[in-house]
Amino acid sequence: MKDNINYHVQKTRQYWHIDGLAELVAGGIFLFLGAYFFALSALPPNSLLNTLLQAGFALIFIGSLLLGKRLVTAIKIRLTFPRTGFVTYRPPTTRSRWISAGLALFMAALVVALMSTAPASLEWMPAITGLIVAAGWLIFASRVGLPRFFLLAIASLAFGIGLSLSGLGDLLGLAIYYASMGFTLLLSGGLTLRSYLKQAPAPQEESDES
Amino acid sequence: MSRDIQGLAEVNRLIHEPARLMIFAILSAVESADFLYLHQETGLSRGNLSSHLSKLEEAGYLRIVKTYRGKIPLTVCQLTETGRKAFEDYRRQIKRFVENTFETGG
Repeated sequence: MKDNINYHVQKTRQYWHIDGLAELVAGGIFLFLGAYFFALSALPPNSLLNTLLQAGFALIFIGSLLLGKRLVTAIKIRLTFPRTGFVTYRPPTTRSRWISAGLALFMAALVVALMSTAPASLEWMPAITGLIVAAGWLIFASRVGLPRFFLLAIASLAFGIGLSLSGLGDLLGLAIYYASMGFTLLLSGGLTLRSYLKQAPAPQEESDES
Repeated sequence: MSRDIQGLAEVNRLIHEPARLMIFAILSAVESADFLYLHQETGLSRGNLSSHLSKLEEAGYLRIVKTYRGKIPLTVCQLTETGRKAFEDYRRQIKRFVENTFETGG
């Protein structure tokens, strides 16, 4: 009986990820970040644009996350909720929000600080980024219980460490890391969406039931 | 042990019924869910689900809001604070029963 309750609770938590939309949008964000780091690597180091891009990293990063969430919700309203139902999740607690914001700011500040003060450490940036992102996926995967998120954590680690060890560190390595993860997320999300659309027929034109 | 087993007789029967237990399990994990989602996840027929939801609403465990998403009518269900508390009490009772009865080799 306990297992039955936990099964339904877990399945309901997983529902947000049933259609792969969050991964598709995350993939887009990662590709955008890949383009950002590629621009940084291509621009002259002391140029105004380079300085502005570096200074705006935290804003760009956090802004992408906020916009991404809104985009996922907007697509779900049109695609998912009419097919398999509408769910709103309990809002995160204030403490949880502060922790998430703090972690995001810390990561952004770490990247900017390393880029500005310790050029040699840039060689290991893909590995460090891969590790942080993999840790995030692992925590998320263990909470939601979906095996494909464990695979994404492994991919993140492999890309990050592989790029640093192959000598492709620095900003170009970061660009390749984010682009690689972006395509991986698009693949994962795309396959999940295809599977979902096969299982969940388009809604018929009928009025609500009860 | 017999006292532990007899304790099951005091369990909240409104929640304990399998179909309603599924409804509680689903709604405890979210802020709200609509009728379509509950229908899909529980596998109950529409009439059966409506009947269970009505019982829970009468008991004050559930709030049912009929609204619209654009032009499409929508029935949204949400556990009340009373309902959440009742479900937490129920889970504690069942957990105690399972721990005291089965895990002691009874």
